[in-house]
Amino acid sequence: MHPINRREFLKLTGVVGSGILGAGALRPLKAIAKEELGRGPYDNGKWIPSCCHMCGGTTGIMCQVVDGRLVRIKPNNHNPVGFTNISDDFFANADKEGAVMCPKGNAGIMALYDPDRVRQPLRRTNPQKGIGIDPQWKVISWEEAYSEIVSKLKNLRDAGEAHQLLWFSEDHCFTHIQDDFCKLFGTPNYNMHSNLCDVGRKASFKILMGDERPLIDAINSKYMLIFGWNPLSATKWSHLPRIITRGVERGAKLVVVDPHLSYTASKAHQWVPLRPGTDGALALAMAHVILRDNLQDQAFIDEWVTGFTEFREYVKDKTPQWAEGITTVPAKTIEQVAREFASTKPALVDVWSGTHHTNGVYAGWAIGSLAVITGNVEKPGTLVLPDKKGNKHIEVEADEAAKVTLKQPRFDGGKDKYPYFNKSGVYAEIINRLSKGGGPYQPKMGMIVFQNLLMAVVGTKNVETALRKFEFLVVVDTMLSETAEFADIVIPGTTYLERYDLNNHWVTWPILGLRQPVVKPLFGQPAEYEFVCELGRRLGLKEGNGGDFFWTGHMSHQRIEDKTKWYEELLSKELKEGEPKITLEELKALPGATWVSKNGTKYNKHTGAIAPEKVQDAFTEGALLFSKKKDGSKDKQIGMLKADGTAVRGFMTPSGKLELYAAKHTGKKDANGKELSPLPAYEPREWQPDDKYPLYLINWKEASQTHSRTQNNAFLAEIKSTDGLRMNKKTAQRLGISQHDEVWVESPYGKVKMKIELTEGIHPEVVGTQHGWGHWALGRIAKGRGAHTGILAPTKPCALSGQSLNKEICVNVTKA
Amino acid sequence: MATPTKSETMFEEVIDQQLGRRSFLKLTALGIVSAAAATLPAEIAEAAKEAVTKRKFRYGMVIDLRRCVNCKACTIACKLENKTPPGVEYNPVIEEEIGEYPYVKRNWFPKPCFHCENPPCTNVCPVSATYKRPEDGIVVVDYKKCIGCRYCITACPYGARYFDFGENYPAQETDYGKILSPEFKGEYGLRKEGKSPDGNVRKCTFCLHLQDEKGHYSRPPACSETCMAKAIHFGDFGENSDGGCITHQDCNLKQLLVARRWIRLKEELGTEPNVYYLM
Amino acid sequence: MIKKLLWGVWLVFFGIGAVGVWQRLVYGHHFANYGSFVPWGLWVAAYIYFVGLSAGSFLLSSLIYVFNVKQLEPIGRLSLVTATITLFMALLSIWFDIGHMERFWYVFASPNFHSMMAWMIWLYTAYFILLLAELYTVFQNHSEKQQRIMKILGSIGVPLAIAFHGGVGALFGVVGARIYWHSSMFPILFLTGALTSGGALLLAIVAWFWPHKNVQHQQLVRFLAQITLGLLLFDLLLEWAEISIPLWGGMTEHTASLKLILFGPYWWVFWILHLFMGTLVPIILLLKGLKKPYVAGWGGALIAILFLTVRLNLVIPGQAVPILSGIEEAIKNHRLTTAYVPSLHEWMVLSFIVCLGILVFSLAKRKLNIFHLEAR
Repeated sequence: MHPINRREFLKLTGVVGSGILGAGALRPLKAIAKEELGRGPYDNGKWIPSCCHMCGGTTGIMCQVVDGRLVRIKPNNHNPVGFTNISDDFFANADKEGAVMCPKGNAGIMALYDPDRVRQPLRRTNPQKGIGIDPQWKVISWEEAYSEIVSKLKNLRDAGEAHQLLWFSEDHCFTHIQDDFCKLFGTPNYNMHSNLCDVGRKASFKILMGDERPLIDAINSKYMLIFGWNPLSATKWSHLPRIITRGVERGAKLVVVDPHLSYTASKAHQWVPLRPGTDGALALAMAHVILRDNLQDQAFIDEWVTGFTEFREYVKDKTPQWAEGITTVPAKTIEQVAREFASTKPALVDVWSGTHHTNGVYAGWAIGSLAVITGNVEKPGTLVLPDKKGNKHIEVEADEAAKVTLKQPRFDGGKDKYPYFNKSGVYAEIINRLSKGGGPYQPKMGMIVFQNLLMAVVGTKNVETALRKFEFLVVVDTMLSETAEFADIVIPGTTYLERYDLNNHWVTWPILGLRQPVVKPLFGQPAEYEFVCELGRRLGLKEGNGGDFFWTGHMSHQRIEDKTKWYEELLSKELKEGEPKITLEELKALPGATWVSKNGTKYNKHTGAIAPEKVQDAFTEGALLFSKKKDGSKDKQIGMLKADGTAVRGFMTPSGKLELYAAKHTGKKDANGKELSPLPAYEPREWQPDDKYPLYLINWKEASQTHSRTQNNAFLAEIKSTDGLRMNKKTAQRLGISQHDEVWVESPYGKVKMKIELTEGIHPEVVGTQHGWGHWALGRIAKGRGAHTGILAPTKPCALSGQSLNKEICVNVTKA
Repeated sequence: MATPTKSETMFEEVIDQQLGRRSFLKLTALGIVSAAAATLPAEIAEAAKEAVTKRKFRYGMVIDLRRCVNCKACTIACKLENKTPPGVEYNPVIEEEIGEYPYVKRNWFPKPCFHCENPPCTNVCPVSATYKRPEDGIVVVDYKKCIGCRYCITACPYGARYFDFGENYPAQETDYGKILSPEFKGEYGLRKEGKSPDGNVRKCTFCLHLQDEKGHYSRPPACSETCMAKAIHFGDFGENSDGGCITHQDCNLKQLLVARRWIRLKEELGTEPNVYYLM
Repeated sequence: MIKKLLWGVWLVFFGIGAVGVWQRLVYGHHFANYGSFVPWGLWVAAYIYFVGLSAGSFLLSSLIYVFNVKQLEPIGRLSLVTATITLFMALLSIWFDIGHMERFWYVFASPNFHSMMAWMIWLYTAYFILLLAELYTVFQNHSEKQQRIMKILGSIGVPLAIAFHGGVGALFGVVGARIYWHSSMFPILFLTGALTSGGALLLAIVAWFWPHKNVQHQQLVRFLAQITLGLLLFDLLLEWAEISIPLWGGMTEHTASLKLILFGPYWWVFWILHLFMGTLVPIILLLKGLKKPYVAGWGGALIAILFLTVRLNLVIPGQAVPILSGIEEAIKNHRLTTAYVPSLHEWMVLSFIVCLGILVFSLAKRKLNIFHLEAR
């Protein structure tokens, strides 16, 4: 079928291709008649709904495929992620306004058709491993790749050393099957990306609210106080720009606390620059002002907060003057913002990766406390705890052999070492233990799926040493990343446009979007889950009950040869047993291949009554209610009994309330053996500037790139092809540095050369850059642009959460 | 229904287009050209008037700078939609920093072609390859005619025109190179070295190819559709339009321009841009 | 011996130039340095430079045929030949510059009456035809009829040359988007420049290549030198006006391009190449050369050659100021910058054109009696 009819076509050519002379007018006609033959259709083909994965935001997308080629990607209006995080807004407005996509999502086509992608399995022929050492890749067959990897895995498992396999994965793709594989194989060391991202924040809010990831209801807010977060540019959830600017449009004031004038700070009514790592002090001083002036929501506090007295006592001496000395924020500004925040309702306060420093968890807790004392929790326009229900990860039971090695401690020390350990692991600890020795055992084998540890984990030299320690390393990636250069075997991965996934994140009510292959894997390679499945099959991994996990269809219970079909059944099972209760086929058939719960966003969930029969069935411990396990022992916290005896959901903290004071911290120690503070204490971050390294170095994210993985994207390289070192003009003047000067940025760990970008928009004691540049591999575009500042930092985990502390760096800057 | 023959249709449109352009002659500053204009036969002048009144749409944009967050999704969405090569950018975002620490701000705005009512760029084209479409006011370049002299680039006060140097993204060597640009409904076929639009001047077409046969848009231009903050409102300012916005169903462009303060760039040049910026 | 050496040098440059042209034909504009913010580069500057030389030589020839300036009669043929060859070089330059060389004729098939460029092209087409007619006539045997035809052709030619070269100036002048170009002075400045550079070129040729170095030759050179000097000074005056007025006014918008010329990274093009080497030194040489033809020839040559810098400083700085502040940072692409310097490739193509011009000239010199000796 031809997309446009002939008449329309002629009309078009008449307009476009006209000439005033007869000959001129006829000429294009002829030319086109010829052209027409070689012309393909431009506007037909199929539109396939899916979810983006240029970052972890998983925005809904519509992909147009013509002749098996991806042609266009457009926003998917049926998926809330690209529109809003609040259901009312979605149901009322999404159809009329339409969803959005970020620049990276729009550049997805360049990721798919990147000519530098890995096409076939590669084996290194150079046994030497190191930065700058050519692995001397040799293309091998899939059979060779599988048999070599499987034999290594088998040897490990047969020797009872399955736990010596370390697995690293991205955090939003096919994580369940990798987790399952690790379990069935017998290693407790499944790790994923989150600990590079927000496990610090997770810890803060876990302590305070018992929920790891409250989200901002920006669209309903009247005051937004953002600490160390760039939501209008680091738009991981593509609805952020819309909901925040709408909030502002409806009268909200936006105040951004950040050492760097991010794009969000630029859009704000007020930018409050401060010294890095002092956000906790600033928040405490604001709390001081609020409590001093009696601006708190006492009724809310009385009902839902614990530890208020201790907290009030603690902030008594945290005056604005005290904080001014620490943060450089004028006391007057602190007073003004604190009072405005407390007296505007509803208000929200939030923080993300600005807390990648040693005081980060407490700082996040202090910041969250501002919401708590003003009663800005779980109400429209405040911090809202998301109701996250989606597909269900069905627990697999390991077989006997695996159970033995699963009992081994995690290599990173796990929750025994980190009080707020997250299941994503502690990359920094793993790297340190690998490179410097230590740890319960020496891992032999590594499997790195779509992670670029060398660029993502700071302390590059250290990471290099660590990666060398693996006797056998497999990297699965679409690109030959810096980390892939340390692999013994590289397996070509698939992009998000070539594979499946289920996505249920980032909004406040249950939704689930499907990612599905819109084109066949370009090089005929298996999707990662099929690769894992194949490994499982070849290893003959069995479940505890003898079941053939990797062979048996999870819906049909038949043996399935085709791995894609097998995985589809697994997804169906997760969907069926999860909240949507539909099959994969049914999900595909939904508009935009997105399941959206009709129940919508619920506010004030903590006040929700618990059904009497549930209360009766519950396991009670003090005022807390728990569900029961089959054996009658206590399972998950489900609610609390209020003083008046009513049973409500409350918060999932040890007190059932919001905790300004964490009693459970008493006597507990962090990974460094230091006692935990029961209050959100401000302590100066460990690494402070000194005479030798007088400047703070920070880094940030912008809309133009995702971490260190999109720098080879040709479209994105045009909007941002590198980043210099941003420095305050006055600082530069003092140092005799001018615009675009080449400088050495030096720390005790190394030095990198960078180009100066002068600005008024950064704290004078701070220099900074967008994270992710300085590739020496990855592809022809990425290579050699900008500097990788990870070299300048030590590999260091947060002692509470295991968060990699990427932003605690001090440097000296000199003209090169 | 009596349909005009192909050649008639074409002839009419050719005349319309030429005459539509003539109507801009009044702008001229040079005697030599004015003299030429003055010698136009009366019937052509008459036809010119008619051509102007035949205008069905006046497409344009209202870009809300209070919303725009400088994500540059518009820039990339345009590349994805039109498959423009490197260096050919129909909608870049321009940014500047103002103020002094700590009272400092970065200002920015996306800049598509403004499809001016009085476009200075079309006047200069020696071969009539670029012109303002009489029916909807969209300024286009006829790649089959453009000789690539780049005079129009110098004449545009907004930097909206780009020369296609025939350069390609590395992906051109892959299947990406086998994808048709939908620009002008795919008329120019697959991108090939030395073949138009290589060697031509290129510019934003308001995603003309998204229009149906009647000139209505089936979906908004790519930049407007993808816009993260929904800042780019696209629609028809024409006298026949009720101001309804194609991007947002609930929005009225004409009303927006009444309700809010707006600017157009370099207003003093008298180009009458059809892109308004809400402040 | 020197001649052989010079031809050797010519061959080298011609060879290099031929490679450039081959690159241009095979790779299009890939190796050129202009982009979308500075869309016009060396070749456009070269075009207006050559076209100026042509118009200047032609207008000088018209002094003979229209205004009966007897002293110049000996260079009648020479000036017409020079005008033709430089026009040919100009057309070649601009031909290489356009994106679709095969479409140059569209200017006639699909014209736009509002385009100053279209007018300019038609005018120089007419001028080209006229030149050929004059050339044909001037190489006929001397007769009264010939003189009459020459007078008629010349009389048509003078307004034509003024219109067409003024038109080249107007081509820039009408561009309201580029403040630096948008000046009513441009057509006049272009004409004066044309006369100055054209006169200087003829002066150099006459001074150096005239077959008989006698008193008459000396007088001829002296006269040409005087004309050139006068034109140069007048041109300088106009230039002063063009530069000083916006600078005095001091509006950034008006002065941005001028500041680039005077104090930008290529300040030396203006101060050293144009003002010192191309103006001051030639003035001295011309004054000295009033008695020494050879020295005057150097003066003429310096003016004529270095006039390219004047043209470059007209074309480039007008574009080298960002059309909107911040536009250069918007997209990272080497075509999207106002920092333009001609690439080696561009110079190579120009070298080809110059060498070709020299070749045609020396062929004409050999085959045709361009010095018009019997006419005296």
